[in-house]
Amino acid sequence: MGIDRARRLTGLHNRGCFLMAPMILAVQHRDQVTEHSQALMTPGLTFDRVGKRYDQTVVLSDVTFTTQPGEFVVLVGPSGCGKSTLLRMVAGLETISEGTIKAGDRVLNDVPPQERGVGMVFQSYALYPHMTVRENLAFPLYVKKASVADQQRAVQEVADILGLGPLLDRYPKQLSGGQRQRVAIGRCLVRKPEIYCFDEPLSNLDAALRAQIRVDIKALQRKLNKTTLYVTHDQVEAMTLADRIVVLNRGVVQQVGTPKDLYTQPANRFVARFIGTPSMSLIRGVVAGGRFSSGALHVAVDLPDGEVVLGVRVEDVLVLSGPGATADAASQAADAFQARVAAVEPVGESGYLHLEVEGLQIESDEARAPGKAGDGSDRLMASVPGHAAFSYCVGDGITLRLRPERCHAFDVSSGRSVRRSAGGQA
Amino acid sequence: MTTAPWEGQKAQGVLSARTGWIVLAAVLLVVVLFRPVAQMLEPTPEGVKVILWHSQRGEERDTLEALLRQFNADPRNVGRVYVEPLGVPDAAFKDKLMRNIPRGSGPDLFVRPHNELGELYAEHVVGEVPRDELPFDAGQYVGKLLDGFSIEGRLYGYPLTYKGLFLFWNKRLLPGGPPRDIEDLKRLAGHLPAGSFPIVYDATSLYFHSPFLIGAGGTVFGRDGRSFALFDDPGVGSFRWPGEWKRDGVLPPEPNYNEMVRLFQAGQAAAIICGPWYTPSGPVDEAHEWDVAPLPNVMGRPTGSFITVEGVYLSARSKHPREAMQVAAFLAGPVGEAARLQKLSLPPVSVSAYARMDANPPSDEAGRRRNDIVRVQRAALEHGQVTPNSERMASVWTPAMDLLQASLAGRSFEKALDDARYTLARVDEVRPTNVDWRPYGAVLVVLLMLGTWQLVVRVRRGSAAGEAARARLTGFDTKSALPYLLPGLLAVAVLVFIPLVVGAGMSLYEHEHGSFTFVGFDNFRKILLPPISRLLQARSFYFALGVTVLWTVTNVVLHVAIGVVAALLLRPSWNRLRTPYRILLILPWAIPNYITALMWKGMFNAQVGAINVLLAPFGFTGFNWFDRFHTAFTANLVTNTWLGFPFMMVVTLGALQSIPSEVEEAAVLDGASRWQRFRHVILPYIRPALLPSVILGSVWTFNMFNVIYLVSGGEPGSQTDILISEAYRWAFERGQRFGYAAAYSVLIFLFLLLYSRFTSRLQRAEP
Repeated sequence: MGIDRARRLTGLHNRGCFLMAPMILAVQHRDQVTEHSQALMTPGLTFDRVGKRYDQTVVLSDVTFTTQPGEFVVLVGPSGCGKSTLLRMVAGLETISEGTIKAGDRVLNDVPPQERGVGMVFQSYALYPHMTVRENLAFPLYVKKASVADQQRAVQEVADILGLGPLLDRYPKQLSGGQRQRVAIGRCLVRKPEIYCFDEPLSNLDAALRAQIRVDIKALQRKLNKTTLYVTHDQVEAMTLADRIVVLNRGVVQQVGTPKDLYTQPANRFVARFIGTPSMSLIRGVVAGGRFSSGALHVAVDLPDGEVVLGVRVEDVLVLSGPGATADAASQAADAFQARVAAVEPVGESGYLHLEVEGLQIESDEARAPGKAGDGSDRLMASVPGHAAFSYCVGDGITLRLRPERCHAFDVSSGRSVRRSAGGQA
Repeated sequence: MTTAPWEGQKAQGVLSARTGWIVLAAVLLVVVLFRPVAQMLEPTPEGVKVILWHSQRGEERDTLEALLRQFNADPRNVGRVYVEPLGVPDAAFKDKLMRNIPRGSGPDLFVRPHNELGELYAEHVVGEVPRDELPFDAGQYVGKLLDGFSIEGRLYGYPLTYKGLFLFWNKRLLPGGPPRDIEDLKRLAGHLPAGSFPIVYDATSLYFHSPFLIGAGGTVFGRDGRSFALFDDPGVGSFRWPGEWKRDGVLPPEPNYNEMVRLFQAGQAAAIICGPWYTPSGPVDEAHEWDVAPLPNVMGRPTGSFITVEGVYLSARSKHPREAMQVAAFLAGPVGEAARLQKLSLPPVSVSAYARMDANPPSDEAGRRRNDIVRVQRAALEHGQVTPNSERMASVWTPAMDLLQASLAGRSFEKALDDARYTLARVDEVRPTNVDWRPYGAVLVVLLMLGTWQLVVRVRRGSAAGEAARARLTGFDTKSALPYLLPGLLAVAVLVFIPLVVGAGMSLYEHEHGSFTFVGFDNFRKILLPPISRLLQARSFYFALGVTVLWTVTNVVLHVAIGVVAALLLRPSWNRLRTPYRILLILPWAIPNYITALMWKGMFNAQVGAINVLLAPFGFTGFNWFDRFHTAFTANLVTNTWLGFPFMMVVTLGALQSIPSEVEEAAVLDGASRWQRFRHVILPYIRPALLPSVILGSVWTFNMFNVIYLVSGGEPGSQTDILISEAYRWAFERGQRFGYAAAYSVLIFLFLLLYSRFTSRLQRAEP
């Protein structure tokens, strides 16, 4: 296959095109054969007050959301938030303590895992180490006592899709991580399930491969058009892959929405901090007369008086003086405030300036008590074009202002959003 | 390369070489000085010391020692002669005599039953006793007691007392008095309550069978005193009777000694043939239901039994024969006789003692009972035979037992008779011819040199290698370790290495009557190339090999199967119930396995064993498990499986913990059934752990002596004996054929060596 054809086929211009081109080709071929039935074969999932308990420990509580058929839903959250448990409950590997999970109209609660029509790709691929790749792929059909000819055909089909031809007679320990992942996906494909579950499939790959395959999996899913549940702890993956994201923290659903929704209108401070790189800065301060202030920082906001936590992203902190300043500096002098550069982070296209603002009460992730700027906790950051970052030194003074319409506000005690930013209204 | 500063430094302080040597020297000093110091503290009397060996226990020993003390205290003896008794374990007695006396280091006198005289005479261990040294006149001795101590007309011992068999009978079951004839007992069959039998005795033992042999007119030896007449007419017919009686319900189904005693004591036997060592206890005694009687008539005539005469022998190499004979005469004389009668109820040897007994009937119950027991034994002596003292007598017990067992089990009598005659015929095999040892010696020297050279090469290589060099760097060197290692090394050499070498060497010798003849590979030839007709009979090497292989294979298969299944069943609850499971598992291992074997043997008891009781609805009551090969084999198998499967189970459980749960979950999602999951996912994971366990387990099972010897005892007719128990029997039960048994052991060793080579190659081939 020529590189041009591969690029055209996949729309990718990196090495990943070779990986995924064969996949996409064969999927297209399969599409032609089964197109008319595909749309009927994948149900949407409905989670209704689903909960999970191990003895006295509650792992998941009151999870309720629905997915559309064919949707790519990503479950994301920090370690231990219950996302893998939720996935395994869909697959049938964990019992459901409360609530129901339905695939279409069918309640899955008491259905044994083999009969749910769910295919799973495990984090560790879970290949059968004592069988060759061919036998691994054929296993789902072998256990159903399919004829040898059927098995061979299915294996060949999947091998063509995934480019596993030369690997068929190798053992899993002779394969690289990426190859093993393909075999794991292949084994899943052989079964032709209705629902696909991916349990952190990219966690065991190196960063470069991960970035490429991320995009390729998305393309594959679009072609397959089956309901897919994908678990990851990496919010970048979630943002890249998902049609919709379910954010979980400590067993509780924080928010369900499209990547854009989560980014522009986070429902609470957890989602706000979790989604987006770099994280949103949370500043604790007081609103008085339509004006929010925390130390030297002030900005005009449309909020009732009282204590509130203001959330602001890096891109909404405007530099008014010095290299890389934004144009409308002078006109917004009323909201300008002074800061000092505490650190410079030139990360390439942009550079981040870590700022020290006098008296600023900035919040770090876990603690509710505000941390003082300058004691090592998260700092307010501003972004400048990459080349400009090199011009700043630690200790430089700088004038900044915030974009008020893009600020988020969260309740001090509950953390819930009390005001969505104006810019997010679609 | 310069030496680092810490190299060459010897270990200092408490663990230095010097401390080690001092400690070792101190221990050796204590060991060496212990005896002389102890002697010094206990003064020895004056006069000639006469050493007397005996193997008596309890009251018999007390009586003997009291008599000897009496002798020592006698003013005629004080300062001139004193006797020192020494108790020697019964089983090793003969061995010790035959080893010590020829070297001049044994006792002056020893007390033994008469039937060993033949062997002792052949070993030149006993000294002749002039007839006028006897305490009583020759004619004064009751019955033919002196025959027991005579060889070719010469006398070799002083009779002390004798033992014979007689009848204990149950007064409740036999209200008309003791049975007069065997026919009386046969008529009783069927008229007794269920579970009771007319007569019980150890029907597999020739000794207990002797009343019937003698009653039928049989003898052990022919007229010439050498050729075997045991299995000739008219005596051979008596061997059929136990089988007939068992079938007719006259005898119980499992007539072994303990069972017979139990039945009589429970009041379930009308009569029991037993000896004076036995006093009934239990229900039959509490109800005062038993009494003694002479043996019943056989074929219309009174009969007796084999009589064992206990006597004092003179050592052939005694340094003080006169004094020794003095002591012996005292012991065997009227004083001793009276003491033995009074305190031990042992029959006296002189006619006058009986006359006195009849003249003065005792007034108390116990005295009357004692005299009755003495009288019935005299009857056994009068009508019976003193057990022949020929050394060839030792060979008749086993074939006789086989024939009796065959009769009881209902197997073909003709065939069993054939086998028994064959066994006896082999007793007179050609004496081993001495083979020139020089070629073997040369080969041995060459092998030793090769071996030493190899050893040196390897040690050199090892001490230059990484670990040894590192050890030296940190201050551990051989010289300081030596005194601490030496006792351990010596123990290993003495307890393991030397016996191994000696055993292997012994296989090149033939042992007979204490002397070893070098025969080269003759033993191996006899084992591996027996006559074709005997090739597949019990007691041939190949038969035993076949049984052993069958035994090993079935055991290992069962162990693994049950162990794996149990492990799979326990796996879900393993975490919660770990402690109770561990306790349950440790129990079979913690109990010494011979106790377990005995427990199981009891459970397989024909009448009251738990197995037959549980299987009673299927008609198993009274079923003798050890009558046939496949049932006896099954009994052994069940016992060993119970012992062996926990090991496999624990190994499997450990291996199961290492299976990644995600692989199993993937198999579940792929739709695999439980069996498919086991075969394709679980089994490949536990195989690498099971393989070494299977190898270990098979080697242990191959040599599992305890279970075979204690549960089935090799029955029937040695058919369930495995190689190792066969080797044991050749050494200790069939005439001390040590060379032959050593050859067996060498063959077992070679077989297992090949097996371990083969399996280690299997292990290396594992992917």
